[in-house]
Formats: sequence, structure tokens, C-alpha cells
Amino acid sequence: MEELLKVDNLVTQFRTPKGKLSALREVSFSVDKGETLCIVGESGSGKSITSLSIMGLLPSNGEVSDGSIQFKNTELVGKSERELERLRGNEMSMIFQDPMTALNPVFTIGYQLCEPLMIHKKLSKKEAIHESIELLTKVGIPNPSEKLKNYPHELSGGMRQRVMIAMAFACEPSLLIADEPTTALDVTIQAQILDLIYDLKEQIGMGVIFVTHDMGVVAEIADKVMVMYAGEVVEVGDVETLFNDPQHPYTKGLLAAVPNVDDKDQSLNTIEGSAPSLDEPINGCPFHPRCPFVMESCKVEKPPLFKVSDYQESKCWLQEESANDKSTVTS
Amino acid sequence: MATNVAASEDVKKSTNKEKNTIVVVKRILKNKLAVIGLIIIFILFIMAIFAPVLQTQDPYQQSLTEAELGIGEQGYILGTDNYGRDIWSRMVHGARISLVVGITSVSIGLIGGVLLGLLAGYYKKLDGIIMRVVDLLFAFPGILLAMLIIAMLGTSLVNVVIAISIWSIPGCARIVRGSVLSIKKQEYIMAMRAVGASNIRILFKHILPNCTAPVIVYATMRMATTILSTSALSFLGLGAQPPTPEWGAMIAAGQDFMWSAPHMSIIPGIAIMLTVFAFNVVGDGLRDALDPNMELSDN
Repeated sequence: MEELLKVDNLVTQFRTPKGKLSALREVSFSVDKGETLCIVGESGSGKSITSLSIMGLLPSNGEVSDGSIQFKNTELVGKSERELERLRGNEMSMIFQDPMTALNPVFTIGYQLCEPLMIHKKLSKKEAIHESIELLTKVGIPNPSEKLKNYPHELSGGMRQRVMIAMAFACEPSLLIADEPTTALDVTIQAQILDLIYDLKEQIGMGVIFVTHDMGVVAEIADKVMVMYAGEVVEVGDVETLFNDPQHPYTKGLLAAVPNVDDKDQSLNTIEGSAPSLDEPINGCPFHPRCPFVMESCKVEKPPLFKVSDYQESKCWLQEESANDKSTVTS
Repeated sequence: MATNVAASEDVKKSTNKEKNTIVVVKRILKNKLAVIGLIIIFILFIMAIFAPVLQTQDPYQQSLTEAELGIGEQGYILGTDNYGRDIWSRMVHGARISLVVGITSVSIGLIGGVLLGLLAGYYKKLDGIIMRVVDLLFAFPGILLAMLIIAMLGTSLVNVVIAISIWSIPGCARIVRGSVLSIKKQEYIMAMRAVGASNIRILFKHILPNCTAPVIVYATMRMATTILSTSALSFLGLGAQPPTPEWGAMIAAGQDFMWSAPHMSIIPGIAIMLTVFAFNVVGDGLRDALDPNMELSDN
């Protein structure tokens, strides 16, 4: 399928009083048209920074210092703010984690929903309002013309997230980045929102990057899964292979940590230890202090991304033997 | 709010913006002091607007045979001054001057302060420069700064307006900068950037309306200070020049006749006091009414 986004060796750094810290280390992945990529990992593993880097919305002390982000075969790194503004909301858009804070409390829903339409489609206020009503209908909000006059605090969380989705879809983007869009919602609403995103995705045929740490959500919507740890990609694969046959110890740990509702006697599995903070120097594999299969080589040298199968790549020395005969993909 | 349920039919018809304004107005009306302040301000505006109608004679017309008449004597409502000018007519025209000077200098000060505050709060690079300049202005006692500016520009009412506007800028810039700093970190600003809105659009269309509440309160409070300062400057002979019927100038003119005709100074003095009181009280009321945390005690 046609490649929509290609991220290559992306390094994002933050300037801090302690010096430059890398939040992303040589992250590479790609998203095809109509494909859903899920990025999973613990808090602080660089999921959100990856999405912000693509959108060009990094905080002022952050910068993409190396690598490339190609969107529809044009390079995004180094583009001017003005050019990025033209893409944002138009070609690619983003849904945020907390719908409670992602809408401006002093304006009506309509006022905010009109913004992308007026900015990118150059519609007049009247046309924009007309279009907004259609958008709200599309995302399943009842009585849309009345709801336009509502302020965010008058709507429930699920309704607000629907409004956010309507805003993101206003200009029919080809790439949608959803940063934990269902984390702040309760489970029934979560399912509705996931369905909604899926339906709209099918209608427009766009690529989706879905950031989450909920493995249940991943299993439901993903085509491809990327597992991140300490700013690095540790394993990539399509959903089925990754869930059935995880190769990296970290992925295994993540999957084991999902509670099993049927098993009453089960104690919750955890991965011992915690993720390294950004300023901690890491020798070898970043996961080795917590890894149950740690070997000598893990402490010394960083493993490259080994190709496990056509659908799966894993960054772990355990793959070395099995991959010996196959060609290795250098990181 | 629970009370809305009963009146839901009516409320549904009115738009939400109206609903919010109604809530704010209701809250102010609950505050008795603020209501008194509002009444005083209303009377002031009536005096100012209809000054030519309300005056009993030309405020500049002298009649030395009727000088220093007391309150109510010979049909003069508030008496006359040392030149026999009707004090009531002069008071009415004085209200006009006070309000015009107050409103223009506060608006000019606000425009400057809001612009500087927005830029300083949003653009980190400008923050240092702008806020140091503002600090510099803060270093002077306000009235001294105004006197300094008037000393440079010359004494006139227009220069008073300029001086007081400049003096209003730093306070406003600080307040707006503070609001912008907290608002720009909110996720909805990030969401607007994700939609492709430019910095200027975000700054003026999305951040500015969020800081209106503190600015409104500041402006009202500032009106009081401004009117007081105008009178103070005129009293010192730096503002309105005689025979202009400015309240401060009237007090100054009356101080030589404190024993023979005390009402010459006392009447404008009371007027200034009431005006300043009214604007301060309304400012306080507005601050409480616009505070979203007050919603809990509302039901």
C-alpha cells in the first residue's frame, strides 16, 4: 500500500539546565494509507513526543535534532512554521488525551469547530457554521445546531471528545494522530469513540497513529503495533504476531501485565523496576536493568533491530541466534 | 445549576452568552455596595452627558456681586465661588471632564498594556525586554511619573491624559502577561495549534478573550485612580488650568477661601470622594461576580 508517513532515525532532544537530553533515540517507522499504527509503552517512553514531533508541536525547548519525517514524500523536518500551519488540521490532525481541557472554556463549540474550516477551507463564518452542523451529525451528536451554541462545560466528556474528533476531521486529513483519546473516558464511551474513529477512518481512508497504553484497545483497532521503551522502538510487528508471539522481553512483560478477568486467583504481573529517566546514561540495551533474560552482552552493547519474520522486528540480543542466518537490519 | 430546571423553557430560548451575562449581572445586584456604586456612576454619567441641559447658567459666567454665596442662597443650588460663578453648573461640567479624562486615559493605557502583556506573555524572547521596561515604569511612584511627563510636555488636560495613560500601562501589562502565561500552557491552545491556527490568530482570537475578566476589573479600579490623579494634578496646577471647571482645580481655587466659603472646596471634594468610592466598589463587585469560583455560593 501507499506509504503515507515515513519516520527515519528521528532524534528529538530537549534543552534543559542539565544539558541536551534525548527523548527520542533513532526512532524509525512508517504508516501506510489506511493503516492504523498503535504506539504503546510506559509513561515517559516517548509516545507523545513522537506524535508531537511529527506535528511540529514540540514545546519551545524541544527540537528534532536528527533524522527525517517524510509525509507524502515531503520532508517535514526543517519546514517553516508557516508551512507546517498549512498542513496541521488540514493534511494531518490530532486528537488529544483529555477532552476536558482540550476545548477553550470561554467559547462555544461552534466557535471552535469553525476555526479549522475558516483557516484551511477559507469558508465564511456562515458556511463554516453550516459545515460544522454536518460534522457534528457525522460524529453522532444529537441536535447539532443547538449543540453548536453550547459551551464545553455543558457537554459530557464523551460528547466533548466527539467535538474534538469533529474538529480533527473537519478538513478530512490524510493522517490522524490520536494521543490516548480514550484514556479519560469511561469504558462504554471508549468503545463508541473507537468505533467512531474507525468508521471515519474507513470513510476517508486515512492513516492513523494511535498512542495508547491500553493493550485491549490495541488489540481492537491496530494493524501494526510499535512498542517503545526509553525513547526507542524495541519491537514492531503486526498485531496478531505481536500479541501471539512477542519476542522482546519488554513486550512480553507488557502483555503479561494485562489482568485476566477470568482468573480469580491471578496476582497482577508487573515489570520490576521503573523506566530510566532521560538524564540517566544508558549503557547497552536500555531495558537490561529490568530484563529477566539479561545477558552480559546486553550491558555492553545496544542490540540492533533484528528481523524476526516478515511482519516483526525486535531489538533484543535474544534474537541474535535465531536471526543469525537471516540478514540483520541495522538500527 | 439546579435553579435552571424550573426556568428551563425560557433558558433554552435565550442563548448561552446571554445566560452568562445574566448570571454576572445577578451577582453584582446581590452586592449592595456595588449597587450603590453603580447608582453613583449612573448619576455621574447623566451629569456628564446632559451637562449643558442640567447647568443653571454658564459655568464661566462671573458676577462679582453674587460672590461666595452659600448653598441654596439666592437660588444658587450649591452657591457660588469667589467670582460669583455657579458651583452646580461647574460641578456638572467637572463631571464631564473627569469622565472623559478617565475613560480616554484608561482606554489608551489598556490598549498599550494589553498589547505589551500579550506579547510579553506569549513570546518568550520579548518577555525580558518588555517586562524590564514595565519594571522601570513601576519604579516611579505613579503621580511622580505623571508629573515628570507633564513637566516635559507642558501643563494641559491633554498632557494629563497622556501622562496617566502611560502610567496605566505597566499594571495592565503585568496582569495580562500573567493570564497569558497560564492560558498558553493549556491544552486547548495546543489543540488550536494542531488545527493549524497561526500564532497571531491564537493570541488575539483565543487567548485575549480568556483574559478579559481581570482586565475589566483592572479598568474599573483604574478609573478611580485616574479620576483621583487628574484632580490631584489639577489641584497642583499641572492639569486643567483655571477657569476650567475641573474638580481638583476647583478645590485648589477654594482653599484660599476655606474660612469664608468652605463649600467651594468641600463640594468638589465630596464629588471626587464619591466617584472614587463608586468605581472602587463596583470594581470589587465585578471581581467577585466574574470569579468562576463564586459559582458554588450562588445557589
